[in-house]
Amino acid sequence: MDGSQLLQLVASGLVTGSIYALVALGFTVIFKSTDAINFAQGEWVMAGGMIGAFLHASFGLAPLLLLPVCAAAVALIGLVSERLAIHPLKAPTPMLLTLITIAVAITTRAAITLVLGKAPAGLPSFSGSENVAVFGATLPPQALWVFGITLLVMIGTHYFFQRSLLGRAMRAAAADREAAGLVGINVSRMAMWSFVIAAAIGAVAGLIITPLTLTSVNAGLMLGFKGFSAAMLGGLGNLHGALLGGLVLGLLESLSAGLLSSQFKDAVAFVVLLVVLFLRPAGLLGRASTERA
Amino acid sequence: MLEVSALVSGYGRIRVLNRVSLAVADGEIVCLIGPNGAGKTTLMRTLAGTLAPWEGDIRLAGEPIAGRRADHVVGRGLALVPEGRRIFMPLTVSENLEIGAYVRLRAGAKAEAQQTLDEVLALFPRLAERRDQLAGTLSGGEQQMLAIGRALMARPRLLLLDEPSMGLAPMVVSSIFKAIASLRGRGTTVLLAEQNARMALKIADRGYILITGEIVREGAARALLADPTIVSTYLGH
Ligand SMILES: Nc1ncnc2c1ncn2[C@@H]1O[C@H](COP(=O)(O)OP(=O)(O)O)[C@@H](O)[C@H]1O
Ligand SMILES: [Mg+2]
Repeated sequence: MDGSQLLQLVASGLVTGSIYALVALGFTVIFKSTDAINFAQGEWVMAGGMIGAFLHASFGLAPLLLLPVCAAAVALIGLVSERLAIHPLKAPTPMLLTLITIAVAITTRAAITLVLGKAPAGLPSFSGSENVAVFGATLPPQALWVFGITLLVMIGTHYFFQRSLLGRAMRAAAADREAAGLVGINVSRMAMWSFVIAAAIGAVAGLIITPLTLTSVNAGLMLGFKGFSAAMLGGLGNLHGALLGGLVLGLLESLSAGLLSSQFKDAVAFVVLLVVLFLRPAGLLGRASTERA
Repeated sequence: MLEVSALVSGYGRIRVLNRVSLAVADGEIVCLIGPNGAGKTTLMRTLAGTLAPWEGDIRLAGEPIAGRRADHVVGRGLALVPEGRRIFMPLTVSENLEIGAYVRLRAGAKAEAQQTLDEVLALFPRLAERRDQLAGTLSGGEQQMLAIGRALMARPRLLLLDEPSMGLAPMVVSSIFKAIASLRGRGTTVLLAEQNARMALKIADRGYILITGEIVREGAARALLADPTIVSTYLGH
């Protein structure tokens, strides 16, 4: 193994890691506002890719145009899911919400299968087809789109939560529901927005990875699991942790596949998840859970 | 400003408030005195809408608000400073204050909210010094100031305070009570729940005494303070 091969492994690890980071971001957004683990997150990623591939194949929509369209379509799925399955609950405990998201995941997958079928689907690269050399590694042009869009989504989400009134209200509601109600925040509406945002982020992740990996209705389970492991690794509920956890997991996968055996690739996320749960349940950037008010 | 009649409220099947009636007139400071467990917090939460009443009527400036959710009630002009302060710990001091004006900012009243912010910071200069600090890093007294400031950011007609003195050193309490007393000049009506009876009665116009969910006495603050049986029976020290 020479230096350039190693660079190649790092580069491809960062590409996958970017996707994991986006999936982890989706988990984080919903966890922050509801304390629940959203098992539908992976299905939303799958839905973004499947709907994008369908719209491209049937109507020839340009891949870049697909970004806002798919984000909106899947955000709508998130919105409807929340209003139908979560909002009517009288006593929405995190455990109950988590269980319901499993039902949402199954329903979403069934609906996509019914409408778009089981066949694998793909998308062309957002631009060009010639590989590009970056710092000694050779990458498909789509990899650069993945980096760029992941960065934009991360920064956009950060500013949304830090600067916008809705973002701040969502943080306030996450910190103290009752107090948030007292200042006039409709707390259940904030939970709804977290589903919408997480679904849109998931759709973007699914869309930008599809030109590299293809997708199918079954892709959501593994992507959701990887994203969850990344979120746990970085510290569930922490935006920066999602980015860090995603990239680290992507790198670990790529390096272990390249240096050991590609059979280990999917096992890495399981190992990471177990190690995090045993040694540091709050994740790399998370505070100890006792400090969570 | 506020008229409460025959209010019954509680948790699950536990009845805490037993037909409580009281009134607060425009511009008054009224205090609600009672020992631990009397139902002060239950009453405050029921008024503010974080707890739904079982029976009875609540009117704010004539408008019925009983059973309305908190996020609606604050828009009608009633803000509660909850027991235990309940500020947003992971947010900065300025963010806490901004969120206090949430309803007004959503309605686009940015300039007015800025003006209220200036007033609140003038009332609590300590908050101005600590604007960019996380609320969780403030001292207890500063947190209470922030909780009051946050409620004032909604520019309420009626401000409810639930035991603002709880857990604070006497010096800090007296500065906070001074700030509450100064609200009288600004046209904010105040209903203050306290165990710290003497301090509360000193800044109040009138008082109610709540024991195990029932109002057992009411009167001018001065009369309540002067009545030796009241002081020894209900107010301890
Ligand atoms: N969340 C709750 N669930 C059940 N009972 C409660 C709850 N909160 C308070 N109580 C009971 O209601 C009564 C009144 O409490 P509270 O309103 O907090 O009194 P105070 O504020 O005057 O100390 C007490 O007997 C208390 O144990
Ligand atoms: Mg109390």
